Amino acid sequence: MKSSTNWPMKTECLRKNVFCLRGLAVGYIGFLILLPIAALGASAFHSGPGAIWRETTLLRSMASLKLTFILALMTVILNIFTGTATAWVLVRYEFPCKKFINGLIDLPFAIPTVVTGIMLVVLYGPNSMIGAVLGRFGLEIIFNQPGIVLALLFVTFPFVIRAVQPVLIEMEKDLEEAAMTLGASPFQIFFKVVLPTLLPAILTGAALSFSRALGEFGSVVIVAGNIPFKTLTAPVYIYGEIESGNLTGATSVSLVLLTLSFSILVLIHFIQRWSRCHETD
Amino acid sequence: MGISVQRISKRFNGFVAVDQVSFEVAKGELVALLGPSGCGKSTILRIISGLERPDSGNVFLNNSNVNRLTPQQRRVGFVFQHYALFKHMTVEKNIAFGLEIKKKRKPEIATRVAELLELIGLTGYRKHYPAQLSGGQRQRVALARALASEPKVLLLDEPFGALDVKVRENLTGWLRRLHDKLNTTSIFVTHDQREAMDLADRIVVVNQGRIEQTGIAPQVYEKPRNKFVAGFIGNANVLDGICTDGAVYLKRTPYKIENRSAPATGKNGIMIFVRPEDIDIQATNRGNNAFPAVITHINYRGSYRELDLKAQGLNIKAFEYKNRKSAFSWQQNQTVFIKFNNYKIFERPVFNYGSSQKDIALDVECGEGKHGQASNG
Amino acid sequence: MKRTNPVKFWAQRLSLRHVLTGMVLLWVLLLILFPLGGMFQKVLAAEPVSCLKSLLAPSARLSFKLTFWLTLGAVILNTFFGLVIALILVRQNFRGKLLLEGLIDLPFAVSPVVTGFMFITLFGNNSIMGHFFDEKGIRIIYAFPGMMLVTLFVTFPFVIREIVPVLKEYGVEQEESAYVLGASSWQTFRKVTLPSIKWGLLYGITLTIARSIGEFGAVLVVSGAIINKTQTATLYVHQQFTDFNYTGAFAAASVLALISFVFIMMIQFSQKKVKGGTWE
Repeated sequence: MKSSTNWPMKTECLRKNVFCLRGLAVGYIGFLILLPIAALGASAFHSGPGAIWRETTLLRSMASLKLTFILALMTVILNIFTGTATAWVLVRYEFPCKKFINGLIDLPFAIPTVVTGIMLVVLYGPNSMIGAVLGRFGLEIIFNQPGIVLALLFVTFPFVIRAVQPVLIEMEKDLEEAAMTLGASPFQIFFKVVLPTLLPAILTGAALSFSRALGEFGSVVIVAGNIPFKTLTAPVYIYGEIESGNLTGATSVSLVLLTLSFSILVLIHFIQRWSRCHETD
Repeated sequence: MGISVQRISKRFNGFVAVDQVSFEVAKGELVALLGPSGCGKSTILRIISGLERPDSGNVFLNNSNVNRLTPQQRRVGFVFQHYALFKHMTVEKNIAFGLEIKKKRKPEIATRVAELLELIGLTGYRKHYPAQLSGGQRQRVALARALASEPKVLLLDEPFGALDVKVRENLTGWLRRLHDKLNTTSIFVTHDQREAMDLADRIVVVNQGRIEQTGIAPQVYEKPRNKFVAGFIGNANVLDGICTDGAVYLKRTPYKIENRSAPATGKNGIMIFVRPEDIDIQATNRGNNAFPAVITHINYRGSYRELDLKAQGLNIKAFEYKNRKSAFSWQQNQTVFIKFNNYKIFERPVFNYGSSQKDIALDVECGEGKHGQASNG
Repeated sequence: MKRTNPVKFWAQRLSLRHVLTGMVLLWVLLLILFPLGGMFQKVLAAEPVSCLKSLLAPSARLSFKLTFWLTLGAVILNTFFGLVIALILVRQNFRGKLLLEGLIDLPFAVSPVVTGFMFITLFGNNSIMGHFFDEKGIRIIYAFPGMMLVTLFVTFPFVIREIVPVLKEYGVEQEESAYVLGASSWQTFRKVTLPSIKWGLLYGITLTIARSIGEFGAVLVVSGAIINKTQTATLYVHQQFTDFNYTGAFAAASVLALISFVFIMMIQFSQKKVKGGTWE
């Protein structure tokens, strides 16, 4: 008995479609994403681990890595507090222009990093009003480390906020009400009930901020002045090495940055897994 | 005196949720606030707990006015419909929460938690997280958490609403036994009348922000004060009719039921409420105010059958129970005679204000005995 | 006559929520609005004529054109492949799916400079691929193809990440009903799947465009920033700035910032639609 519809053909077609799609996807990812990373690895291998190690442990390369790490850390710590507070205010309170402010949060996502750098120089640079005033107090923002932190704060501004906001919105009110009926004060409610619920989101946002801050280039290269040992971050260092043709140097520091970033990605993945295991439907 | 609520009202954006509600709960009593969705019963409960502030009126807990007190200060236990357990804390920590807030000493807390775990039958689960528990278990933990600091008053907001039927039945019985043991003054909110009747000492029927009737289950079921209560509690057939001295006439039919105590109601007409179980089905007309009807459909319900009857223009539902031979008697399309053993009459209001409080039941005797004497002679 | 203590007066009226809101607003003001305002003010203060002149200079116009083509390419390719990848991620099960999911987020973790450098390593003069293409006479590095590849890399995740959750929530039953009713895979995709994910798709495309317009580090490295040939708008701004042509830099930067505003509004709009109307 033959089926009247062309089902056998359809399933064959579907199967072909499936493989077609899968092939396309894998091919694209393989070519665009995996191949370049592999190339970097191969180049490192080619230069030899000894050379890589030597380049990485050069004083100025170590200094750039250390600087990047510390500045990114400072940025993240600030972001954790300001980001959580901002998300809280946006979700729980009403105030004029709230929608406008909410839209503003996404600005750093949309603005080119170069433009960010320029804006900061214009506002706080030595030729600006504010810069001149601060200069008299001996506070130099631009072409100095505070300027870098400022730029990093700007570009990583949305991460913690956007990670925490949906969790706050989803949070059921009756958890806090239950704590109220059990005698907890508003502070106790925040620290014992709300904060633990928000913790995975805060950590995810922090990890994303950190990763972004480590790799930030466009705004830093304009704002920092790029003085070695003082304001030369790792990405700018890599750029310098490329320009001067020291490809091994560039490769080694790139590898360090890549490893750091990958670890952060893995960390985020585990944070997400951990937060889900406490979820009740 | 356990709880006293005096003329509380609450509006939300122009919508009147609670309208001049007053009632009392004696110490140690378990009272149900029963009503359809959106009738304001949860709002009343939340006002008592302090989670909502009333626009006017007073709440007294153990004779002191708690209007100005926050929920933290009122020391009421509150159980939410969706448990509201702290997901990141173990069962132990959840239950201990209130005690830790009050800064009790660790050994004291540990003893109390162990006590409560035993009470709710979850001793082996102290280190579990809410995600690892079933719905019924979670609700028991929520209850233990609320009881931990020995509140004077326990408030439960549709505590079994989110649970499966069987679990609900088990927990209802369990809660009743628990209450008998602890005797905490309690109010629980529900839309399930069966639950209310199983569990509560007294039932407060709420509709559209007002109290329709309070009383024990038999009172509310058998002597509904008005149309709403008659229609909401249990099943009821609602028939239009006219009352002129001596008889109740069913509209759109030539049938009448003789009743000496039926007053004349004039042009407004009346509504007759008769419960399916109060309808007697006879094979022949024994001349006792019975009238003919045809069985159009039979629904089998296991221990009884639900019969759909049609009498002229009227659709009537009746229950049929097994006869002496442990079998069901009637068949579809059979013509039978039905008689109302018990019914309630409500006068139709001239203007429909939407408030069923205006539809007071007419005081009409309509038991079998009276009929027999009055009309069969 | 009692004099009211001002501190007490305000302390009674200000609650935590006022203080917190005030602090947050202040932070947002200082960090975001101030710099924006400062730049626009500079631009407005400068002569509009010279601003316009610099924007109309050939190198400026070419740089914007180049950005446009790169963006267009990124949108087309990453939308197409993004849809394919999202579909197989959500609707199919196969070995290595977890690995694939991890790879999606990879470009977020890589610094732009490193991105550019990876492609130089892959296609540069000393590599196999480089030789291969050189023989064919195609320049990858320091030319458009390289910049395109790099832009594709950095904008790769956006469309995928935005439509995957929408696809997941939307469920497979509607597609299955379509199949049973006789629709082919393509018809089902066009009539059932695509309409349901359109807002997520829009959001992803908006992010892709914003990112590719703003991309700097990677294209800087890979293109050599040859004026009039491989200079994008962002590279143009950078070059003007480092050459002290502040008017040119600010003018171009302002244009870019304005375009960003448009995109923020689109982001907000499509985000709202995704959250509110998944089931159209």
